[in-house]
Amino acid sequence: MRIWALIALLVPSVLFAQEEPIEEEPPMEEEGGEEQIDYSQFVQTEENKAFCSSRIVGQRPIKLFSLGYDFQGAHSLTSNLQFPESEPFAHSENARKDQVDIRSAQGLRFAVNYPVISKNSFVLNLGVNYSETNYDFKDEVNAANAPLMRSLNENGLKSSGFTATVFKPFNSKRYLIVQAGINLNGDYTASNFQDLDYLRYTGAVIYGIKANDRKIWGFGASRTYLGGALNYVPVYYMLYTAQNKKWGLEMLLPARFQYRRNINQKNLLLLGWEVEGNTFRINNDDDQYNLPYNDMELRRSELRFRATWEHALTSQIWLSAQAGYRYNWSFDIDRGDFFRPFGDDEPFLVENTLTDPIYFNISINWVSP
Amino acid sequence: MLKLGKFSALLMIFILASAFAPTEMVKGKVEAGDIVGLWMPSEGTAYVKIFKEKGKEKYHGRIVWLKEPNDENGNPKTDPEGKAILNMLNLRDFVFDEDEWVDGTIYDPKSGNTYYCTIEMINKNKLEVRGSLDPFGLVGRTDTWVRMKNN
Repeated sequence: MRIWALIALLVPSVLFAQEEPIEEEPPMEEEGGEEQIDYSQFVQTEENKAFCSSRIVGQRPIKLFSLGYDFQGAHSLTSNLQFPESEPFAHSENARKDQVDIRSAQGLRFAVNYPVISKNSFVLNLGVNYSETNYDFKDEVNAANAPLMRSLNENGLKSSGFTATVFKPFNSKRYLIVQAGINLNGDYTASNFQDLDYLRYTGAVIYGIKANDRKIWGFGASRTYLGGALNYVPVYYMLYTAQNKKWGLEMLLPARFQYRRNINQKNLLLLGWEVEGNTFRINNDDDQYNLPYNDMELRRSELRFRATWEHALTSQIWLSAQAGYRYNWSFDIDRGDFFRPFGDDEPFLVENTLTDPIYFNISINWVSP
Repeated sequence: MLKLGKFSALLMIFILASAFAPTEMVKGKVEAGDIVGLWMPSEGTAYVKIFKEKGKEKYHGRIVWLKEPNDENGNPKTDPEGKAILNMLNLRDFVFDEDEWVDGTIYDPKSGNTYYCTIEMINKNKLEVRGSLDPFGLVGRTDTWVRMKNN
């Protein structure tokens, strides 16, 4: 409710926000008249420590509020169910291999990123986000032949999260970013909400340097579920704008990379990739899906190669249209939550194959330009 | 439980505590003309001269000095629309109300955007300048400016 109250409070201000910088300077006569002064001889009356800001010229506007829709086209899911301890699932050569066609996977996405404190010496942003993926299967699925598909068909996947991000500059060059996140992911619905025991925690720390107004970079480490399972990975962060200010790079490797083309003040074109992923609890509390366990989690991770066009409708309202290719990295199932590094060859409890469709995403955004 | 370790938890507490550290304002002792003078934003790359408009109760600010007045090609630095940054009027139309200067705007020549702005005086030599996207100051950024004096 608080979020909606905040939105209700903020949206009217967007509508009345100023559109353009002032075009013409009116004649302005100073009281006392203007003097010719050599300002280079002036010194500070008090120490005022200089701090670097987190932004560079030419970068993509920061999204404070975003409402979008994500659509993946037709693809198929082959579920290789292997439950060695339980019937009707059989192991190895008897394993069930059910392939189903999915017409589409689509859903709303919503995010708020609010600067609670924003000073030159300290910035704290709090954010909430929600996304859902609803699966439309071509043929009817049921618990007997495809328990995972039935869960996806009936409830889809939901992800709700809260993030806190701190930007702490130490001086005009060096800074620290600390981010912490809490996510609740699963096949829950509003009427059958997921137990908070299944909250998943993420975090990142980046220490870096702001080289100049066109480049900021840093190294760090993150605790992440982007690969589907819990992982700890080193990260490299960089925002860069070329000297001619016509292009740049924006990256947080290995999670995302974008080449940015600054077409003009109102249009940006971005080319690159982003990893999306999380671990989603499959609820089998009432044994409704005929699954042998009730602690199964879907390790979903996908790599999205995409082109994005960002267009300013006004100085603060931007439209974002994105299209690309969604490559499946993981759509497998494990029991519980545990650390699984990249390249881990421990078999999943259930290994699924998801084919790779094209996708598009469109969103309307209130931005800090 | 978030397992980021005790060091990270202490670091976060320190950072948050430093953000909420109180600043001593000089409310009630401020007069409209106190804002007039030469000021340096926290980045330290420019000086802004704040002045009172002749015959009006309005205050404006002009960028009168740049640490690096020219770009990489040796040309005077400009905003995204190509206007020279030096001598640009970047604070406009402030009026004094009780203990702060309100109803003004601030122009960011790097991005080419204009924001709503209010100015508070921490002491005679320091200002808190808050630019915001909304007229209520809900979504914005606060910068500390220090008064400059002739050496």
